Amino acid sequence: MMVKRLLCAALAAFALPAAHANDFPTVDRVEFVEACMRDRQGMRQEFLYKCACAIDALAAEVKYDEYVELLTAARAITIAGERGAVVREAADAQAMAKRFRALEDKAKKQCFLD
Amino acid sequence: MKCTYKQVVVSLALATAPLAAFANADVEKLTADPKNWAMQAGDMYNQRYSKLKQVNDSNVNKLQVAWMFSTGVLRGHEGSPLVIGDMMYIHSPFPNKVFAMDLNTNKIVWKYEPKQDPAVIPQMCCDTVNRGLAYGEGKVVLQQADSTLVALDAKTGKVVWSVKNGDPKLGAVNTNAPHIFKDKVITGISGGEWGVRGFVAAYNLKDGKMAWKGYSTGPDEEMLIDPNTTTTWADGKVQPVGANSSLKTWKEDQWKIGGGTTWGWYSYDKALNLMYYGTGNPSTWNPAQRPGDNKWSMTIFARDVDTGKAKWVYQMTPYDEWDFDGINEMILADINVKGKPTKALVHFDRNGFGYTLDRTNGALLVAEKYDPKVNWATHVDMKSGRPQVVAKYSTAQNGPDVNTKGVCPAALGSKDQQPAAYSPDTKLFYVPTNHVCMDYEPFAVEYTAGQPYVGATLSMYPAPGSHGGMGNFIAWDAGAGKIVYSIPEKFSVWSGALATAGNLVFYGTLEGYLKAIRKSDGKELWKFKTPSGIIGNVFTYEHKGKQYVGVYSGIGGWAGIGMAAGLEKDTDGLGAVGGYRELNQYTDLGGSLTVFAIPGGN
Repeated sequence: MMVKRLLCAALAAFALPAAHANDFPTVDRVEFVEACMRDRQGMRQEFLYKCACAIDALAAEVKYDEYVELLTAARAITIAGERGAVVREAADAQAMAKRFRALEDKAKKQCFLD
Repeated sequence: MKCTYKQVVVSLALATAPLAAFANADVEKLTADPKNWAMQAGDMYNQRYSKLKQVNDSNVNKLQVAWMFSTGVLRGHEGSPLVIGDMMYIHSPFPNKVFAMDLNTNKIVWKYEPKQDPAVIPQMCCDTVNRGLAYGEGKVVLQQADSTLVALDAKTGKVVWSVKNGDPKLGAVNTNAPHIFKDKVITGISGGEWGVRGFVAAYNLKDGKMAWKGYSTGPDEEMLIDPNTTTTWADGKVQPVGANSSLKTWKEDQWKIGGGTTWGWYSYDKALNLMYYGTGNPSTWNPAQRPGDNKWSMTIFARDVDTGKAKWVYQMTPYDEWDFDGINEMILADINVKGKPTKALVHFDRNGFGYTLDRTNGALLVAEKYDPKVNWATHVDMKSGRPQVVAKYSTAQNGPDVNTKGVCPAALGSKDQQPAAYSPDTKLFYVPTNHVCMDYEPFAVEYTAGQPYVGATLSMYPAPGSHGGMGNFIAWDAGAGKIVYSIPEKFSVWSGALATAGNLVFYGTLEGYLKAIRKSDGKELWKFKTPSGIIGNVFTYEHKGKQYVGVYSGIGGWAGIGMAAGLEKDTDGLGAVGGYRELNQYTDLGGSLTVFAIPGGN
């Protein structure tokens, strides 16, 4: 049926970008894994697996440009002084930082990282 | 520490020559050679322009990381390194380390780390930033956070002289870069939020002795103002300021704790022998406590470099009600203003107006909004030079404990200290801006020495009814007072711009991107994500026939701050590239310098 086929195509197209964004550059994946492993001393190989698992989970969840934006907000709200206040006060920066932490927590949980 | 210094800049050996005019000739010569980056702005006009064009609009997309350096410090990194011949001088935020690097080997020749009382940290309103070093006559000059001004021997890093510029216990601290004009080191003071009384001071480069000091507020003689010969713009003409021009604009002794601090970027015109800078907000932020115009806070000053005497003053925001500090850089450029060739001074004030003045006499020529969202004033009256304040955005008219809503721009201004660039090729200015508005509620506050003296509660948000972002990067025609193009940015742009003869403009973003746009039309040609957000200034130099472009990253906010201890330990490894390799793995946490070039032969 034509209608059914169209519906399938539409569903597939809709499902694709959200579930498989996966457009993170290598640099950002390596950076994440390095920082993540550094924060967890010992058992290098174990945390290589877990940290790589977490960034892959994040990359599947969110587009790269959005990830950069969220990460920027999460870092910038910790700036001291007036400039930090600008970012903290701007309502959507707070929301972005919150969303970043939620995404990170979700990715960690999927990978035995807590 | 192994020293591999090669004395390549032979002229530095002449450092002991006692001629007073020599320093200026030295710095002048160094800045004339585009291979160097010998001053924070590249030159004395504050233009942030480079004649280098090996990297240009046809090949900028080939830029790659050439080398990196980690300062090992976790705070916001402002300013930029200096490059003199084969040497690069790198600075850090508090504790204000200085590294001298030989660019032939990338090895550290010497390192200087002052001992400063950490008690100074909470006395700094806006992170423990430092905007960089000055160089002249074989000396590297550092303005420490605790207000100590120190000259180091550029060859050895040994202290040549050191003076105290303020009292940090009273909140008089420093973040500004010192500037070397002629035979003087010029520096200012921070602490407007502590009720510090602002000033600019000149010290002899030779021996650190104070040559003069001019306050922003108070009696004429302490401001180095001559009531008959110091002029200002009033009633459509340049005229003498008259006696007690500051005192009569303050209630009682409020001027003594009246702010007007001076932590921006200064410029110098040799032909006029004048230096230019701006003064900050009057203290407190609650206008009800300081009725009057609060002169000369929020003012552009032109001073004689030899004597400090004020040649002219122009107050941009009389009786400030929004914390629109006037300290932003003064850029000198010879341009056509409304069709007439002019020795201009161009200034993008926090208050959202882009000013063009005749720098010879302070005549007001252009004052237009460089962000169309600016709403606190309808316009600047060209006859009186005063902004026409809109009643509903007046925090003074609304009074204390009333929340004045929807004021654009926010206190941080349409632009903060991050310096703009000017290109003599296009005659345009390239300006990193904020696009943020605020609600402002002043309240009564009592002054206690050494304590914050603020007196307002603010909340801020991206400019409503716009693109939703918190910043723009614009090209500005200062002769006409018009935006030529505007690039929306998600976050405020807090990095200093660089314009080059290669038809390029560079700037950094809070995401950490270093971006190159085509100067002529603003098209983005290249971007690279550095390890952290960028609030430093982009600079360029040439070494062994190759052009390099560099920038600090490090915004002062990191999630993984727990790593600080580890970083401290590893600083022992500083002194060799091997040591940096070890540190480099932490560059996403600490501040770092990333230097780019195009691979292969030229």
